[in-house]
Formats: sequence, structure tokens, C-alpha cells
Amino acid sequence: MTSGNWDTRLSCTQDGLKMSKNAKRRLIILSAVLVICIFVVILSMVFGEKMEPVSYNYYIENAAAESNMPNAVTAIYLRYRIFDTLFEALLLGAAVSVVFYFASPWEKEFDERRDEENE
Amino acid sequence: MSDEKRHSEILEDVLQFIYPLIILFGMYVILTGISQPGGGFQGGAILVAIFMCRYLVSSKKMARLDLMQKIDKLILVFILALASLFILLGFRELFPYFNDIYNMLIGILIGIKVASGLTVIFYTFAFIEGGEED
Repeated sequence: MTSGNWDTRLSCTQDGLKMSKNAKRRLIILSAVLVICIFVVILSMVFGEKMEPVSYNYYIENAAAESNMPNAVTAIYLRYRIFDTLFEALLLGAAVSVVFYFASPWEKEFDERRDEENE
Repeated sequence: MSDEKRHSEILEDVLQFIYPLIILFGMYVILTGISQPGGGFQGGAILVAIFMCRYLVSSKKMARLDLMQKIDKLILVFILALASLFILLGFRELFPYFNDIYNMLIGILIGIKVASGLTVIFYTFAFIEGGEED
């Protein structure tokens, strides 16, 4: 499937919402892929090997002793998975910055309009 | 703006009782997150409810968003510095008695960061939508 082809987007005509041939084909391919994925997942759940929960047992046995914390969940997200926590915080900061800077012209415009209405 | 239209006496009176409870509950979730279900992210998300209540009572902007965003960035630097000092550089072995302080401190920092960040996102979205509809 080639992406970036703008002819395949939904086009509104006088008859209402009409899909181009390419978009229809894409939808069919997408649904076929989804069905195959679901089928594979179900097959692997039925016939797949059961995995041994290695890290699960390890955390239950050693988390409290290694990290001096009473709660295994806290031990995981502040010790074993500290990078996950840090980059999650970084991701939230990036999202906040993007929202703040991309939306600030709108906000200024809105403030000006409100000030005009108040006067 | 439609400030009179949105103003509601009942809502305002009820929310005045709820504010302290929200703050208490948020602080409780942050501070006891070490040994119970909870933690910084969850408590911070609860604390944002204060600003959402303020927005429901009156649609004026009650927080300085630029300041909030600066706090968000600053706290992120503190979190990175604290975690890298304590865990990655091995202060954990050098000063084992700082463990509890570290746990408490990083929970509070994450809570403040999430609260300020989500406040910025909430107010920005609320004012964009509010500006569009009238």
C-alpha cells in the first residue's frame, strides 16, 4: 500500500459521501489484515506454548528486599523500570509544551475578543 | 462572554465544600503511594480536578498558564536530576538512609508535574473550544 496519495481520501460530491475506488480497495485490504491478525492471535492463544512467568516470580520474591520498599508496584516503577517513568514524564512535558505553544495564538485571539466584548 | 449564563449558585456553593476534600484526597494518594495503590501520576491527576471545578464555576482563567508550563519544565529537570543521581550514579548504595526521602520526594515532584501539565492542557483545550462555540 502506498501512503501519501491524496486522491484516495474521502471525497464529498453532490450525491453525498462517495468513496473512490482506491479507498474502497484500501478498506478491504485493511479489514482482511485485521481478520488475519485476530485469527493468528486466537490460534496462538489456543495452540501456543505457555510462557513461564520468570520476571513475575523474580519481582515477587526479590522486590521488597532489593529496593527497601513495601510495595512491589512502587519498586518496579521507581527502581526496575525507572527509565519508563522518566521518559513518561518527559513525554508528558513534550505534550504540554506542544499544546501550549501550538494553541497560544488561538488563546490570544480569544482573550482579545473577550476583552472587546467586555468593553 | 457568557459568564452570567454559566454562573450557578448551587454549583458554586457545593464546590466550595468539595475543594478541600479534593486537595486532601490528592495529597493522600500522592503521599501514601509508596505503600498503597496510588502514586504521583494518579494524585496529580486528582489535583487537576480543582481547576476543572474552577472552570465549571466561572469560565475565567484561574491559572497563569505560562507559569504552569515553566513549573512543568523545571520539575522535569528536578526529576531527571534526582533519579539519575540516586539510581543511575549509585547514591542508593552510598546513602541507604535516603531511600524513604527519595521515594517521598520523587512522588511529590511527579505529582506537581502532572498536575501543572494537565492544568495547562485542560485550560488550553477548554478555552479553544469555548472560544469557538460563541
